[in-house]
Amino acid sequence: MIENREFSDSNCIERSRGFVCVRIDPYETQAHADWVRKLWRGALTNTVFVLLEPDGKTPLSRGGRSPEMAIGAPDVFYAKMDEVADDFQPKASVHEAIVPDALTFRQALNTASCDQRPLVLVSVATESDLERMEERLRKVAWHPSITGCFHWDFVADDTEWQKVVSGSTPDHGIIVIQPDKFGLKGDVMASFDGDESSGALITGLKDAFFDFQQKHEAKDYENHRREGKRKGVTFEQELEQKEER
Amino acid sequence: MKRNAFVGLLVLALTWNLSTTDARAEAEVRTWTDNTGKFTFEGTFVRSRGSEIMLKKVDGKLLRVPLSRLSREDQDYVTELESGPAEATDPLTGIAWYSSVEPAFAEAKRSDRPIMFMAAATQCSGVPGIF
Repeated sequence: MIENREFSDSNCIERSRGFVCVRIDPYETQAHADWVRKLWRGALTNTVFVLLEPDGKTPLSRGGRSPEMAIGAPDVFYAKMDEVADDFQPKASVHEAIVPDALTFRQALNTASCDQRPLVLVSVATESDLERMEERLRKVAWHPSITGCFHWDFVADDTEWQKVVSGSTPDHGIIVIQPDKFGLKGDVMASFDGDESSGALITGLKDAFFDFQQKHEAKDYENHRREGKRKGVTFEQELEQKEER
Repeated sequence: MKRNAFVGLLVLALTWNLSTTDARAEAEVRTWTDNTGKFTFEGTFVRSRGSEIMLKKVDGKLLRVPLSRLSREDQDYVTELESGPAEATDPLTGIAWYSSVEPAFAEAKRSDRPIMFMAAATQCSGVPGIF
């Protein structure tokens, strides 16, 4: 529902490149719930929006349930984004930013499904490989030709994800997964050993994204909800979904 | 001496089949520098495989070099050759969201960029796959 409004508008997407954009599920963990309470009047709610300084603490806008409620109509919101971005000139290359990493694979798959994007899973053998791979993939993940096309998740010494993913599922590598409608299962679209050059990876990911766009059917909010209810589809999280007033 | 040291440091066995040479980049001769900044030589990019690239010196000799051993500028050059410039058009497909706080806030501190923070449940009435 939210993605159908401001966040899908190219005016917002273009301006978002000047920000570090974080969107968490408030019910995923207690820590996420605590963040929401901290930024929204001490209450846990389904949605919260706020602009923050790079310190992650100081608000740069009012908080609200959405950009519109926090800041105003789209034009006002975009003007505010410009104003804030002008005050902060990046001191390090945005093309070498830290690669996003979801807390869990199941949440990564669900979030990718929600955003109607493929998920890139980076599966490595050991914890010590994680840092090396993350650093290596920065220029890939943030290359302008694929920025915002994928969600990313890293796992080490973990094959649990293979239980819900069909197709050729290598234990290790860079695996592009198409999430199913409800974000509970996925299919492998492409995979890479991980020792390809950055250019080859970017090209491979661009191809995979193109394939995804050809196959993907856009979701209709109400139909999706109704179908999920009818089929009894559920998604358990650490916290029960509720609204505190 | 320095050039010899650089070549000696980087040259590996030449086993690649040159029939697969990437012609896109062969024309441009440039000065390549290692990641210490101390060693340089003139040559052209030929192709890459895995984490290594093949370069051709102006005297025609071929070198296999781990990409990580080159300067950052040279690494960027190779990435651009293969995938387009870093200034390539952003398709504006979507917002590049982090879905967890820790890496996002670490990135904000690293780059000194402001944060656009959103919380949103990844299910509706208990049904996942939609915001």
